[in-house]
Amino acid sequence: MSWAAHDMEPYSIQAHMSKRVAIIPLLIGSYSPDFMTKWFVYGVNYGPFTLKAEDPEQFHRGWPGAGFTHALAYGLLIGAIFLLASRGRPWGKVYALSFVIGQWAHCLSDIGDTRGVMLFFPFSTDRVSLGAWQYAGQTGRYTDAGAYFSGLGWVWDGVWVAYGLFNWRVLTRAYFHATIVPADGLWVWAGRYLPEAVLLGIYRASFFYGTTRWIAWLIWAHIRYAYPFDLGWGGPSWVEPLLMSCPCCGYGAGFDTS
Amino acid sequence: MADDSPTDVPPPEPGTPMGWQELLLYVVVGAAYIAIGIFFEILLFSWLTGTLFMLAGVWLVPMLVRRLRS
Repeated sequence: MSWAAHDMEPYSIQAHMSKRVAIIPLLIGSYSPDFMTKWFVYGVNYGPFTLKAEDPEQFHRGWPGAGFTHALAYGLLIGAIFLLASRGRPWGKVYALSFVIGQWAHCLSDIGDTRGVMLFFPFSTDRVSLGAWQYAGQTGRYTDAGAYFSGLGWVWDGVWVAYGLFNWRVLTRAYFHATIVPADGLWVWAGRYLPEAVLLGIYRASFFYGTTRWIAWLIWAHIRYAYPFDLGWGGPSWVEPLLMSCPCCGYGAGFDTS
Repeated sequence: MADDSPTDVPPPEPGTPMGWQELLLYVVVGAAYIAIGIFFEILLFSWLTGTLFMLAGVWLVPMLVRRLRS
């Protein structure tokens, strides 16, 4: 999983594709694989009750589980729903294309970690993974943050932060009025109720969130706390090995596949 | 009959920071978000919280200051 790339990638895609894409479905596509699942991966507490997946990694990336949201076919399916819902109106094509590109960018980014994604589901449940940084979602969100910002994951995010800054023109007021607004009538509709500064802020929000969060977590992990850096392939090695549920013995009789 | 429906969002309100002033405002709000977030991590977990923090800093507070001054 990535902590800032999913916020930053849509702006770089926007810079290259201009009015052929719309930023809102691009961002929704980029967030969609984790949108409804991440809270259950990390777990939440409501008084004495804790809601958390029994096997967070399996739930997040596997099948059975919600791992289908990280498949290329999932993006195509939602894109097709946009096309059908639009009934041939021009916004349908732009929304479908934007969503698919955003969702595919998320899937391809998540290939970088050690658990990978079922990229070709439903044709295959095999995981595609580069194994560049350790998946640590099962450890909870704080250790996950410490691990991600100690391995190559934060470098990958840093590439997108740097590339986003290189494309700074997409954040300007002139670009917003000339390219973002004409590509999506939703902005004009929202402009009836909200002032321009708020619309511009909403447009820039994910860029702001991705960049500031990338800096903040890096400082948090290495200055406020002392998580050790491990920029080796597949690091950090200090993350406890992930125990996969065994298909023969069931959950808990796991074996280390990392 | 000509279609008079708007094709753009409204123009900026008078007194809205522009150019370098606007960039500086975002940088200051971003630095504040980072500084607070390092000690109150809960602020860093939610996109909605981050966006509301940013909108408060770059739009709400400057607008209130402008109105108080005028």
